[in-house]
Amino acid sequence: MKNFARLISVLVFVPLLAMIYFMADARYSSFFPHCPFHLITGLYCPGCGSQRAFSSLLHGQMGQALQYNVLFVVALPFLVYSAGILLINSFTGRHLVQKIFYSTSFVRILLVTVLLFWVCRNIPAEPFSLLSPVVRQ
Amino acid sequence: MDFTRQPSMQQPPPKNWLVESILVTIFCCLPLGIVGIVFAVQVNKLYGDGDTEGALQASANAGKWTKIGFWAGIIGVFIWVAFIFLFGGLAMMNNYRGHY
Repeated sequence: MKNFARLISVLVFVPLLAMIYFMADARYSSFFPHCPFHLITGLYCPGCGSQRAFSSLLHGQMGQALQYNVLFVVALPFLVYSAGILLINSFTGRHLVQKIFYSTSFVRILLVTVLLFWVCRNIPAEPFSLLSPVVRQ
Repeated sequence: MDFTRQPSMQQPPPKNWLVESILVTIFCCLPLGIVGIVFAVQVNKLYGDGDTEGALQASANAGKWTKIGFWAGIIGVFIWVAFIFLFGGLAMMNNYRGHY
């Protein structure tokens, strides 16, 4: 069963991680790993703020999660879709294909989005700086 | 994957590692996931063009870079945790001494 490792990670590791990020809040704790790219360059990578965004979401603060990392919040439904298909395939023995991810235009749009997001969130000027992983009151 | 069970005549596309690349990009905090996404574009495009051989090659590359990103992220987390425990321990000892 090739999907076994994936199945385990969806059913065991994701709930475990959610518990960790709920209880030891990444927004206030310095225990969580820091981004190596940010440590070295001082710039934000496309993933910076996703741990804090995850904790925000788990505490029901959608607005704050969007401020920490929009990309994470936008990617979440796609990850849920992928996990859903994996679960359906594992438990019913079907061979559904994750169609969205095999569409060339979708992957192209995703690539451009990630790269633009990476550049834009590092521009220290008003409309762009809103994408940086800092919470504004 | 067992291709022979597929009812359609055409082979299904090779694994493009896209979800894994997205996860590495967002969670491992490493730009290596983006390399994976670039190869995922190639997998889909070459497969669409009917170049199964090229698509398989791109698929192998996507898998390789995504895995490198994933393990680099895991190693980073371990180094971080070791660092926290080492310096956390030192800090506690310092505090302890400070109370004298």
